[in-house]
Amino acid sequence: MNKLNKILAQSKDIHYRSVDTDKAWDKFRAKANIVQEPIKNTKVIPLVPKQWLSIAAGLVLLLTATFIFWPEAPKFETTMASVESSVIKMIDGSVINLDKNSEVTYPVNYDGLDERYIVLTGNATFDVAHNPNMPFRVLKDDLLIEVLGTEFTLTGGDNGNIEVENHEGSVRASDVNDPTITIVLLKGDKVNFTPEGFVDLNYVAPVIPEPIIDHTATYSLYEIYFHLYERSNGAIDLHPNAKIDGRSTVRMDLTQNLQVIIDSLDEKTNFEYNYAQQVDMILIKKLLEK
Amino acid sequence: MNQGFSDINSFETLFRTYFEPLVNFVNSRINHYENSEEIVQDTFMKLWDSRDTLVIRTSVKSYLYQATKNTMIDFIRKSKHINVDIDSINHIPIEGEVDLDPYIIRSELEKALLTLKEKNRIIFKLNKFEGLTYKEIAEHLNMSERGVEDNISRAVKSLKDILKDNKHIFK
Repeated sequence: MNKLNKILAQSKDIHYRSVDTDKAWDKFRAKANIVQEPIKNTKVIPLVPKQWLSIAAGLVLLLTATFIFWPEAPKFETTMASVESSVIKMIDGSVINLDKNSEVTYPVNYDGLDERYIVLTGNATFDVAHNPNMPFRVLKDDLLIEVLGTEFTLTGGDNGNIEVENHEGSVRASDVNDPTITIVLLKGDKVNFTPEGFVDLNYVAPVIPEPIIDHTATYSLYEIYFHLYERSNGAIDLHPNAKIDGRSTVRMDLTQNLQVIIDSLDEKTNFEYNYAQQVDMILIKKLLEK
Repeated sequence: MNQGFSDINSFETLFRTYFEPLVNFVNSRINHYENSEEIVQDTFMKLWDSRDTLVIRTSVKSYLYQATKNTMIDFIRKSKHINVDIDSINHIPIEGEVDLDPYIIRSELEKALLTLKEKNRIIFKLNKFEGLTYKEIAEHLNMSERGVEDNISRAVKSLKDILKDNKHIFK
């Protein structure tokens, strides 16, 4: 009895309430419109030779009725990947890679169908066999994907959004409730279907280059000297015998570093200076128009 | 259809086997018996509606367990009054259906207990399910501890006979 005790222990800790299954079944039958006939006692009548003709006629009728009312082969199958992902090969050669915890309904018989219509719950990747005469349509929640031949993935995104990634060919994705909300995805495109419409996940905001601002302006040589003096905290100053033509002008960019300004003065003016290495000072001896 | 419920009678058997444990399983997550019954009714309705096309690649029990989980998630998403973390349901393990098994076992036990004498059944349930000691039961029912023990022994013996061929319990 050890096993029964173990089982009792297993079911003891759960909160359990008996359910009126008879009532539940009656409710289910009513909802599903199921009529359950009670099993009737049938009377067996022995066959006699003179009835053969009527039996034969009955058989002919039965065969005819069977032919007429023989149920059609099912057109759709539903597959659920409950434990692990599942690969489904459709009869047209298309392949559905169904993720775990997902379910898909797909045609298994194309007689009378003019499209390959798939209903998906969960996530899946589709590798669609090209057939321009049989559009491939996938419905997932309110999103409808239409393709002729391609490979794409449908996954439930965050917050209930659906992510569509197109690997090959092109697909059209539409909101089934509003066909005007539609988008065509080319190879590599990836979008999110949200209640507000489609969001392009491949969109990368363009990098706007920093505008080049030209700080070049015309300054007098005195303004330039004074600028150098101020910025160097007096480390660039005039030699006691310096010659400077303060009113002459030159175009320069004074926002650049001091060495660049000094090089520019060398280039554009008659510029001489002494550099005192010990104290890291520059004494301007001459700053004249060139 | 090849799932073993090709006619209404076999479907009824399936319904009667799994309805109660599934309702209790769902109730353990959403804590509302009426809604739990609705969820399981919807699950069976989906199964019934797709009976001609459905191909179940696992067991019917696994299918019902997974389908009920999905219906429960849909129900929670649509309901504004149920505050349950859907992720916690999504992450319920599937392997071995460990979550559903105790409810199926309990359901089978409850059915078996209905065939016992009322006194045996009450004493057995008080001890095994409610956790009362022999002494507590004896005081509660105004009988001797030895009498309680005898009743439980008889109940266990009967249950063993009734359940020995039950595939849900002794796999």
